[in-house]
Amino acid sequence: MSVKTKTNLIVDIVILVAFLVANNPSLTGLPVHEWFALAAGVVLFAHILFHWDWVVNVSKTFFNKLIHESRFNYLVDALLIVDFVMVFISGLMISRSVMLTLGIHLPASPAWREFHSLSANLALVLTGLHFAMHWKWFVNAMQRYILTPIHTLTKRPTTGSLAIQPVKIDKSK
Amino acid sequence: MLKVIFRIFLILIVIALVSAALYALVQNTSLGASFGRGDFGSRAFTGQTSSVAISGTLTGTSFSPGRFGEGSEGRFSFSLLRGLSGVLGNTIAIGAITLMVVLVRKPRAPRLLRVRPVSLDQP
Repeated sequence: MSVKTKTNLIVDIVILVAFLVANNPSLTGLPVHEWFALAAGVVLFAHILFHWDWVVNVSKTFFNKLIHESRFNYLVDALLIVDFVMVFISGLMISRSVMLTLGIHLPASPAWREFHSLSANLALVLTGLHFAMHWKWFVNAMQRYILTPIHTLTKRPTTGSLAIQPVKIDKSK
Repeated sequence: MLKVIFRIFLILIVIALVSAALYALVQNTSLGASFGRGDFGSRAFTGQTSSVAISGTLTGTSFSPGRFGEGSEGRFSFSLLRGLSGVLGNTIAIGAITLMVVLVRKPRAPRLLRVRPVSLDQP
């Protein structure tokens, strides 16, 4: 269980950082932006696979007994998946580097560019919502797997661990 | 293993469906046509009706003619400072949304259950 949580935490942090970097083509330049976003898409794919059981469970009980928070969470996640697909597809349609490498020439349409920009903006809002919905889990996991180990490593040894233990000294030897 | 392949297949079907819907929307409808002219109604594009200069207000995504447009195919310019400020802006935006939602969802103790300090020395 803990290994799974740790893996999920690492994957989530990687996705968040990748999203922030990929969302700013000015930082990396266009070719790196395209390839990087494609790689981030694969990690996003893995993220969905890791949470497959949750997706199935909530899908089964969506119209039955389910607390409102889980339902809202599910809707946000579904929207986020659809939006990310829109970002990727529109990104591929306006791609200069990836599609050229693959030998595919697509007619450039300004509509795709605007869809790409608009869906990227929407993804930012939905990512914020998604992040907020899992805030408790994120804080707990961060504390358990990142902050506490760092604190333990940097902590000075206390006097308790250096306590003197009485031992018997045999003077005859 | 078979289960994972099946799951991947399902996700790919969802991706294919969304892609097909998006493609149909952009290629075949008037929405796509008007979208391309920059008169979709979004505040992000109102100032830039040029077919080559598109800007996203939230993400800081700004595609200049030199990067997408005619004349300088394959060339692009990027500035580290602009990129970093974009990343910072996005982080602040996500942080602000998260903070708002977390504050809204924060459970509050009912008034009747609030602790009131009392003195134990009272007779």
